[in-house]
Amino acid sequence: MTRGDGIERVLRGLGQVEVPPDLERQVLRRTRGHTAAAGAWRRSVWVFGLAVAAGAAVVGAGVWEVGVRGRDAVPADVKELRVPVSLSPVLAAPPAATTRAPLLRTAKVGSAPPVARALRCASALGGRGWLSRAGSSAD
Amino acid sequence: MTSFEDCSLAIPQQQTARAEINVADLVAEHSALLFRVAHSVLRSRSDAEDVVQDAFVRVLEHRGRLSEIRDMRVWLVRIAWNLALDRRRRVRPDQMDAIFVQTLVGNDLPVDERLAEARQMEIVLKEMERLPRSERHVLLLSTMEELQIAEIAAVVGRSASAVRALLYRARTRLRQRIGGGQ
Repeated sequence: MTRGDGIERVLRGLGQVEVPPDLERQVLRRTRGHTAAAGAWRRSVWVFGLAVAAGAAVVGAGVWEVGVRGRDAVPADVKELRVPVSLSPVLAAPPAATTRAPLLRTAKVGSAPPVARALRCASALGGRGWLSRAGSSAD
Repeated sequence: MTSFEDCSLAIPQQQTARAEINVADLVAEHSALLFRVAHSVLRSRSDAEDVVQDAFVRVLEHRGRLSEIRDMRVWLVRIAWNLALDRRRRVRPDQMDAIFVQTLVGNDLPVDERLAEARQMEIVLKEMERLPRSERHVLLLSTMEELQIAEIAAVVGRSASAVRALLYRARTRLRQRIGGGQ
């Protein structure tokens, strides 16, 4: 082998490097996770926007997080999304909005009526859910 | 007031599905090229894989403007290229080459010949690192058979004729330096 051959072999080796067989799967897994996170962000912004537009009185203090599990919109490898949602539009939502989703089975959130209604609306947002103070653990 | 049916997952679901379909198509079509582009800079498979993933995350971040992009392939290569160059600043060249060189050397050779070949490849790679940056960049991109000169020019922001000149100078300089070492 000559020195010149060495240059060509290196250049050819760089250009023809073997691509990992699971590269596409890796990329799609990563981008699905990113898409799910972006979707959650959009939802949270939209819901907050709804509260402002409606001018609804805030019933209950503070901003809560609604956890969403188990819907087709969420990629299979994303186990959990947390969607910040103001209590005010949740409480103002018409009851019919909650009838589409199954009843909540989560019972660890307290029995106060506003929270229970909020949870039913969380159900309409995405299946089983829970509420917790923003910044605290939702589990 | 708008009901909660309207602020359910319907809107994001449509957007998400559309984004995923587009990205899946792009991944299928371009991920191999992006991997080779990143690998040419980083000479590390794991780093190149990370770059490809990061490149498609960037695509998602700009998915609202994808229709404005004239040449998707060049745009993607440019993203991967810049991400690889950024990452490259954190890596020492001598850390990158040992494993890559082993992939170039024939396994069927006697040990002493394999060592000599590996040494020769390392010299080539080291001399490539010493090339002026613009020459090194076009030389690396030119190793991708899929990329035309015009596409390389678009990636590095030069004219096609400038790329041809840089490529000629890079190869000539490399041969002179390695030939001078004989």
